[in-house]
Amino acid sequence: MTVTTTSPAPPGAEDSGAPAKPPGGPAWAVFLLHRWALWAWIAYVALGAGLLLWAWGPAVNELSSTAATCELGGRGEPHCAQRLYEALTSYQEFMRLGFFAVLGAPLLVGAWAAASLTAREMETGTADLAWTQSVPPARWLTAKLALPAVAVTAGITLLLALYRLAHHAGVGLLTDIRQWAPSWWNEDVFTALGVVMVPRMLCAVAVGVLLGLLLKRTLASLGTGLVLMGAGTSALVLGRRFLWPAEIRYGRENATASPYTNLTPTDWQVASGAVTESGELAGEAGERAAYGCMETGYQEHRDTFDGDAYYSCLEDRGYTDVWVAYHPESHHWPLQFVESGIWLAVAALAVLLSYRILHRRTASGERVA
Amino acid sequence: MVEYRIDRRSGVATYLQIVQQTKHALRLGLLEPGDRLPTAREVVAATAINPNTVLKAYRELEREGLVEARRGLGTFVRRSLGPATADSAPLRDDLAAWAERAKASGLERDDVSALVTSVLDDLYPFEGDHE
Amino acid sequence: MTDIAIEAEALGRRYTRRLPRRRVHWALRECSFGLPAGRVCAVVGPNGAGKSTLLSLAAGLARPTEGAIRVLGKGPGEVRERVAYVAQGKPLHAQLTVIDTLRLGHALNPARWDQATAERIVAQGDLDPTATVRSLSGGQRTRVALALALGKRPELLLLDEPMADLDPLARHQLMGELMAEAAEHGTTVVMSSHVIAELEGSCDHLLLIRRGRVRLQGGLEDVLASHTLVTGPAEASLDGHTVIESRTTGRQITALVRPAGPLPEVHEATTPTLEELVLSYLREPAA
Repeated sequence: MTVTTTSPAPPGAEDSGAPAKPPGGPAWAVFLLHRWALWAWIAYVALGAGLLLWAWGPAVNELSSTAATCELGGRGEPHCAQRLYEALTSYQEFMRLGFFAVLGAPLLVGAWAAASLTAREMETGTADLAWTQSVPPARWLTAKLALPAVAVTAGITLLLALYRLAHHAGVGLLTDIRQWAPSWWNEDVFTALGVVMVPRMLCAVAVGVLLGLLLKRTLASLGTGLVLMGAGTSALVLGRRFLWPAEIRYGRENATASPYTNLTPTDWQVASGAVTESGELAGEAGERAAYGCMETGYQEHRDTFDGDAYYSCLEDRGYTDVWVAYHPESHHWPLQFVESGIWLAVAALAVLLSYRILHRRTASGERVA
Repeated sequence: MVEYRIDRRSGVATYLQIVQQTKHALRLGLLEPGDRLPTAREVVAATAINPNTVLKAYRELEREGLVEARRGLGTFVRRSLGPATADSAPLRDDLAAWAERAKASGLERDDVSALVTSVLDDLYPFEGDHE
Repeated sequence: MTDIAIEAEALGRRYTRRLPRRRVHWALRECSFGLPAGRVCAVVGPNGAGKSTLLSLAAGLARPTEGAIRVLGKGPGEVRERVAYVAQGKPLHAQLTVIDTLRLGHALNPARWDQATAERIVAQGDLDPTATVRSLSGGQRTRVALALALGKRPELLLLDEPMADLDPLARHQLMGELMAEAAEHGTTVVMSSHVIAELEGSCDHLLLIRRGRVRLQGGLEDVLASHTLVTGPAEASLDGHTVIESRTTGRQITALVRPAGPLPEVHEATTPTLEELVLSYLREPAA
């Protein structure tokens, strides 16, 4: 046994065997604790990527070669319609599954972040362990937020990029075969070809962390995280059309009873109705009145429309005009940005609250008592 | 090297137990001048007693001139105590004879022990020092 | 180094439970004390006395509701580097191996980490460093938790019921290692316990808490010396002396007193042991 001083020495006076390579602080600690979650996320992304890669490569190839042979052989090619239908379905199915992988990611991440990042640490008391180390609690929280944020952003970006590739590879053929193109406001196109997924993922991490700090129970946080992310997503999907003011078109100015007919295929019609005498836009009741007068407008000449008859019918029912609200394609990006902004605002609020909760729960650096 | 055994139920202050056991080892020749006493770290690691207690005991031994602390090296024995066995042999015989009489007069072991303790307490009063 | 490791001034901590019914509870109130550095301090008191609250306030895991606490001369949040804390449940990450747990300690304490000390404490226990924490026994977990705390080379070590759930051998061994670290580095150790046998001999400072208030504090020797355990005839008067607790059996009275001067000759007076002292204070009827 070596001889050591018996008098109390100040700590650090003798530095016995400092290890050669210091690991990298709280970020490294977060990695160490959540390695398995990272592997699971990588596996999830790999699965989604596999589906989309399959759609991009083999499925599109099959579709295009089938389409080509069917065209070459004309209508006489045996089972052509059947084979084309199968190839089309296969491509669409892979795209659908790939889309589900994208859509489901924030729900899973939200549930995981809530349960595993903070709640579990609160429940088992390891948060107390973390908060009494040299690294201040705020830096612990920063690492807990930042690392998952980087990982989910990287993962979802890869999935979105692959979706975009697979979509553009197949959309032309799809349009040719079905004679109509997917609309920009379709949920899959809007979500998977837009930017909303990244803020949605970041929000899932931030809200999850906040829930864990608030609820302190793994299962409760997991359930709440899942429900909140699901509810938030649903609310924004259902309410999307309100996120940007819609354009309104009136029947009279277009000299037709049905303003709808003047919408192009890229206009997303979101509401319609009739205008009351006081100038209000009536929804459902107006719509019924407009329908009722349709008969009158077309009564005499089936193929031509009698505007005067139609509008006098409307006036009898107390309306002056018909209207339709729609989003032209130019609203695509404003809608994307507003929705992204909402997710980011919620995420920022959650982050802010998390730091405040942490600040209140632990003694801060500066203040005494 | 001595190894201290601490009896927490003995009622004797812990630091005194260390002092006494060191002296005992000096008397028996288990420790000789130049020997190093175990470090406070070694003592407390084995006995789970308070480090300050060990330091207090060593200070007491130092005060009596039995050991000296060399900074950074440890605590070393300065001088030995005369062997107790040789000197005390006649005393032991006296005590044995007295114990024989006590036994013959019908005293139990505990009675004898209590008698001895009461005499010792009168002769060597403690300072009521607990550790 | 500051001479005072922990200083509390009218420290109070209130907890509010909102559900199912709003209930306000003062875990600690009007606590004032000073704990000198370099001591091994026992925080004793019955369950629920406020021991854990006091330690978590010192560890910077809670904020005082009123009053102030200073640790190593500063606010608890400012000295996280220099203070280690082992909570009552010895929380550790169950999924990590022992080696990874120490790596975690290193990552979170990059400036002070002493891998050799941490490894030695783990090595002294009979446990496989590649085993996960989940598979360890209670004693082994305590050992790993202590290794994590001591690897940080703290100037102040806060231990909440460190030795509960340990068998006597492990208890003795770990306490020995703890004392050895304190001896080597002059670490101030504060440990709470309701098992006084755990503390006898190891501690040299006492902080006795009851119902959220400090009932007794000071160097153990002084505290013991200032009390006397007396036995004597029941009718003899102890007036003028502070009687902490007294029991009368037939015509004899046994009492723990703080003598204000010479005691009546009729009494037999001895210095109490730590256990006798603490038990008397805990049995003392509420004021």
